[in-house]
Amino acid sequence: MKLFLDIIISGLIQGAIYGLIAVGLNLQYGVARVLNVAHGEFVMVGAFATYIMYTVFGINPLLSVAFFSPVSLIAGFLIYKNLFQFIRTSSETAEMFEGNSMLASFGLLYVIQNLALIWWGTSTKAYSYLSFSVGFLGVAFEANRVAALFVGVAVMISFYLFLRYSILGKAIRAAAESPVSAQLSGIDVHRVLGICFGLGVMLACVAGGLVSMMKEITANMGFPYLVTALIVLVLGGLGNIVGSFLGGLIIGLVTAAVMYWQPELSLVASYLIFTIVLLIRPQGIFVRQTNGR
Amino acid sequence: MLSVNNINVFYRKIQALWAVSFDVMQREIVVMLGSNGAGKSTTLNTLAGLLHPSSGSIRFLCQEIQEMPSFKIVSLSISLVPEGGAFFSKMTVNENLELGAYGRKDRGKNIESLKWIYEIFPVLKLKGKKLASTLSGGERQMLAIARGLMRRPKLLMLDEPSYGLAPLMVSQTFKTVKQLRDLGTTILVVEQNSKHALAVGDRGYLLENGKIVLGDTCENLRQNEYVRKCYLGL
Repeated sequence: MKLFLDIIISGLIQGAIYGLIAVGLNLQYGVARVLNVAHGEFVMVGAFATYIMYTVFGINPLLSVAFFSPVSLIAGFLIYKNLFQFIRTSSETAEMFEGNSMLASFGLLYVIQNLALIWWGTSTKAYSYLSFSVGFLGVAFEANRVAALFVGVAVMISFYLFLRYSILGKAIRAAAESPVSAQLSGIDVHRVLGICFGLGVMLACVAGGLVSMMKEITANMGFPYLVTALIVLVLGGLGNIVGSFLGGLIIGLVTAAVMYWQPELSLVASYLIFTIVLLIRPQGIFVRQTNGR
Repeated sequence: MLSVNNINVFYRKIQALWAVSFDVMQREIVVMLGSNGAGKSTTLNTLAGLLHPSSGSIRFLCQEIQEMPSFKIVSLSISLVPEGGAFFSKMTVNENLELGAYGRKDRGKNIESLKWIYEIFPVLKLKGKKLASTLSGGERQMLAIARGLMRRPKLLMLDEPSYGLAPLMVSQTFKTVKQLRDLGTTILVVEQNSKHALAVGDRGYLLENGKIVLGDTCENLRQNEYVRKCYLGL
């Protein structure tokens, strides 16, 4: 029982991180149609920014995460406005835009990663924050992991409420479903898509900050997170925000379980799920079937 | 209130509209007739800012709008209800209506518009919390028009409002169009169903191969030999 709880909670902690990153990618790809392969790099940037704030200035990592959220939102918005919007207006078709924007984001990936390598080198870094253990549901966990779980879930819930009830959230859902109809409703679609991209960057940075509290960080830590986020995206369904978060939790749980019995196979398990979902339900497992009217 | 002057519109390299000019006066229903591919939807999409003319001008209430993006044109209170309706099927009827007035800060006015719309389309009030995808074809068309009305537009443009509707719903839709005009909205309607359109319209234009070939009052158009033969099948 104790072992079971241990696996479940570790899985949820890891899964919440995956969920945050995948929801961010979903906003960028599902709504703004930018398959941002540099997404994982923003996780890395968030992790390093939090690391530096803590080790150099002694600032609480959770405070750093709160501070970097608006900063990364604005940074992401500016990246969209200055790079991807330009590509969107110069691309003649939606397919062309998807291809071109993915290539541009590859460029972004290399720029960010190489800057990080120049700056920090290849060494791994870590700090210890809230590293005492606490009893959580009868199992002992390091406090920083429990904190990460709570922050991750809180961010997701507030994000869900934002999309569901705020007028901007509704505009985002409208732009996701039909950009033309959204424009005809008076929505400045470019602005809304820019905000979506910015929110995606923000969620990646938040996840990165939380990761840095629990794990060692390196300049090339980002790419595996991108791969996992893509798997989760397929699992939860493109454009389905709740699906992405739940998908993240599922992948987290599966990884934690496999990790316990056979650590070498954890990545294999993720890919296996990915392949099975693609074969059986390519629209994602949380997408409700709509009657084809 | 709207005057279109010699606009030429291209889809990439193919010219869709050739020196199109026409006017819409306050409080009238103007119908634009034409067969498939004549350029009717292109005309409306250009007025709504989804396309931009390569030359010519479009003036709305003394303002040139031909270069404006569509979200700005919408805020000048021009609404376009495109063919098949613009609504969001994954959102509720109420959310759809709310987005119809996106960006307007005055909450009081939004509630007022909503009341007004519920009076015209009572069924939307009953189905407010349902997803738009669960509505019937006629209800969807009502929702699309209602969305266009949320801003209390000065000019409402309807693209094929009878498209895909049962005959009873078609006459219902045109009745609504007339009712809206009587309530003070100016309407520009594009239609293949020439008979119904000419019955409710004040003035009409005939579009063929991207050019306006005829413009007159609807009464005269109904008597016109060419229109009777080619568009009314008489």
